[in-house]
Amino acid sequence: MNKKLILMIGILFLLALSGCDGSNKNPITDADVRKGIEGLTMEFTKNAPPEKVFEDSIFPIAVNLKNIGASDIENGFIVFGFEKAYVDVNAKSGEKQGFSIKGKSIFNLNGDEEFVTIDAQTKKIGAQSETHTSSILATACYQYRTIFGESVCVDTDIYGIRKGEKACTIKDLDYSNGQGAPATITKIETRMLPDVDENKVKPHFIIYVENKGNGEVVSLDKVEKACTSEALEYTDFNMIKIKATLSGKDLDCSVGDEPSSAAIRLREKKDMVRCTLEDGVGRNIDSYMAPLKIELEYGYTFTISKNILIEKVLKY
Amino acid sequence: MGIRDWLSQGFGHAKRISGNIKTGVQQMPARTKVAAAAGAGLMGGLAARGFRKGKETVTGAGRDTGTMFLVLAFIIFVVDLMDAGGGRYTGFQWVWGFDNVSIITNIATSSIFGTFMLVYLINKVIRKEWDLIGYKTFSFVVFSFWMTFFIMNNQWFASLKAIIHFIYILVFGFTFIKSYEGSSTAYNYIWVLLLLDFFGYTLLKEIVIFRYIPSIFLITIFYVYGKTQNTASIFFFVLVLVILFIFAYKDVQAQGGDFTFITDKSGPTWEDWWSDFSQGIGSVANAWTGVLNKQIQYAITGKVEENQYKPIGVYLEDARPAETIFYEDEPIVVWGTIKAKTLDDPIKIQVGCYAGKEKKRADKVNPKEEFEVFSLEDQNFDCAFNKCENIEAPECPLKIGSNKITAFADFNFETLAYLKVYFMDNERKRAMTRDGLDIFEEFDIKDREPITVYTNGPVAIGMGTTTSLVGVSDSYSVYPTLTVLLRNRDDEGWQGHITRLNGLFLFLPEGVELESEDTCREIFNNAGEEECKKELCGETAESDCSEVCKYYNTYSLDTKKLREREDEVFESFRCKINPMSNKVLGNTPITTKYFRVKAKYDYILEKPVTVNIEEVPE
Repeated sequence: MNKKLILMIGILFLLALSGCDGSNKNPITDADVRKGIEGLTMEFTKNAPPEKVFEDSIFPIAVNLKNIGASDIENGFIVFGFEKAYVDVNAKSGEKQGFSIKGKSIFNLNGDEEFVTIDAQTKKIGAQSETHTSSILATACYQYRTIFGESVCVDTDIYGIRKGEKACTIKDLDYSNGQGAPATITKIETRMLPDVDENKVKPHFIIYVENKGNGEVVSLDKVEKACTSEALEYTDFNMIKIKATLSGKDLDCSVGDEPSSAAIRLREKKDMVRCTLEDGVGRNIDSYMAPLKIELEYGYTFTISKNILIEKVLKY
Repeated sequence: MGIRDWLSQGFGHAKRISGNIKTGVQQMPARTKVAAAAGAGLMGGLAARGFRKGKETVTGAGRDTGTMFLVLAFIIFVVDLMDAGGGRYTGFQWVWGFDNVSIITNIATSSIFGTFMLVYLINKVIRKEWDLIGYKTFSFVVFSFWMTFFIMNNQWFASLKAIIHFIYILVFGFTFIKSYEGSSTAYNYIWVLLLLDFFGYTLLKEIVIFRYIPSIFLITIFYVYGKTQNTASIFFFVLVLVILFIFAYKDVQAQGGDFTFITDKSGPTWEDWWSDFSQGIGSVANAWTGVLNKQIQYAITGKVEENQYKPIGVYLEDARPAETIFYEDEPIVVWGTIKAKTLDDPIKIQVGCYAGKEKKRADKVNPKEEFEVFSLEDQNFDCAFNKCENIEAPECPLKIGSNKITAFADFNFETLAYLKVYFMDNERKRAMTRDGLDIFEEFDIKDREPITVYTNGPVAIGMGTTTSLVGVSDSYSVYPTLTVLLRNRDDEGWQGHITRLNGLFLFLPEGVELESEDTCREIFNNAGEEECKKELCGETAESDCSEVCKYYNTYSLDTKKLREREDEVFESFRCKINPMSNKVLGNTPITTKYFRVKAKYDYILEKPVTVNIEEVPE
């Protein structure tokens, strides 16, 4: 009896499946490009560099850069690092290359990609050595932006005195899927603070930010420096500029009195910031949903490496 | 108390249940016993009709899969240690300070948790089990809670090894444990094991011994043995004991005192594990034979460069007497073969033999003259001691009876060594360290602690800098140091010793100099590019090799000033180095450079041969 039932359900399921043509009929505008925790991805292409290279020979190094985040990269840098005693960049190529890659958009759901190629040359590996393993590093440094947009509830009735049904209620919001960038907003807590002016309330947001990518956040103005050997201060790492608006009005996210100091400093890749609408909202207005927009601006850097085996040409 | 008893102690309760299971299985009808044995999986466990524990059917059907889980746990243990697949897996850090109430609320109100509950309720309704409040429900709710926790906080998905652990625990729980404990207890085991596996390591890592033994492997051993008395458990348990002993011994050796757990902040990779394991075995062997050489600083160590096709060096092989027995009136002849392999520079070899306390040289040696080996050659040699007019005379080295003749090969040889060192701007290094960043991880550098690689031969060269990542700045309050250590490899089968050190050359990477005020400057002289070319590229090297010398500052040791040691040629030098930021650092955030050393020396390789001399029969 059970077997017959399972068989019938199975047939019905197959019929239902056969009715699907497999194509995605969602309109393109439904696609959420601001999703994911990656910005730029980078990998060495197959055989460039090859696994094994002979000494005194030229070989190609190619890196495939893909911007799978939701922000465009302008004036990014990629710098190649070699063990110069064994491998050096060929005279015609440069160790440092610039790139610009467009990110995901509703017109380009996958984001753009680019190949950066240079030629390198191996050197002698030493009198009594047959082989030598050498590492090639590729470090990318670029500016990136995280844009977050969501409707939040502004409940002017702080103490819940008002009678009648509210249009919305305040609740904490979790976002674990990212916003199409390595630095992501993971949680927003909404509070309504009483103002000095009794007729107003101040919407207040606690924004949790986390670097979920595989690299490090650097200050926006230190992106180029991060791809050199120059000194960096510890304050140059993990700094993110933040700008937030509620219904188009700027929120104050600054720590001190200086509005321009609205920045987050990540500790162990995480931090939170408090943003307040200083102008406040009238208490006489009913609860309503308002668009909250948050922009994070930062530099980002990460490195990939590959080992190659340099072989001596044995003559006997 | 045997190992079996010991293993069972930890799971006394389990063993009791195991006894019950036996009884239960014994009570099964014959047909069901077959099903219980065969149905090892989840469905098998459900299908088989074993004995009932509480209201649940417990079959013990996992008996046959015990070995499989032991092997799987061992494989996972090995895979965890490997560098591949995202580095050494040590679980995740439990971060304190979160808003726990908020986390619990989020989980309890999540749709995932709701789905778990819905499925459970539907299952209850289908099975017509109306007792909602009970141990089973409680277990499932807690299980669902933690499963939701893991699904919602899914950053661990990025780690393939974490996924393997997760799947292993689920499969182990839902098949093996469930078949013995029933589903309710299995739920509890699973979430506890998951938490222990994911976060236990970081909580216990400060105790050194736990760095090597993963909880999941040990638990599997104990649990499987407790349930099945599986012989493989004993094997794996003994393996764990051996590993523990060796590591414990290595740590005791390192401390030079009583055994205590040493705290360590980094989890070992497979390479560390293997290195420590080898060192542990080496320590045991040395303690056994009592020949631990206290002088060798293992901190400054190295490894032989692997030359797959040509093992470089000079080898004295098959040295033996020409006859089994010699008579006193005939010459004593010893022969052998010299095998010499080099890649570039030729080796000059003088062979010979000596006997007696006075080391009397053989009267005839063939080849008599010194000969050169350019790449790879085998050369036979023979030595002959003429018969003595009066064999009992003191000047006659060979007497009636058993005698020792030493065949030797005296040759010039050289050993090259290199050490990889990373350089970074000191301010940046400090900034990254202060910000809690792991610099090697940030730059995807797997070789965190490079060790010296030296070419094969009778002498080992060890090198070391203050740290593998040297911070570079314009001025130093404390200069970084470079330590160079030479030692005979007589403990590694090379029977001989250095007779003379002909030269020692330091090749410091471009932009690194010996600190001008350092005492090393008294014995190391600046050598020019020509000497670098000659020493680094070899006399027979092609001219374009000289390009290499642009990247090195060469220093040569003034051997005349070198102190001499009678018992052993064993030298170490510790020199302050001055890396200049404008020259050492290139265009990249981190720079990799090589320190090189070349030692030139004369070496005598010896091999004793026993010859028997008898009186001439009358």
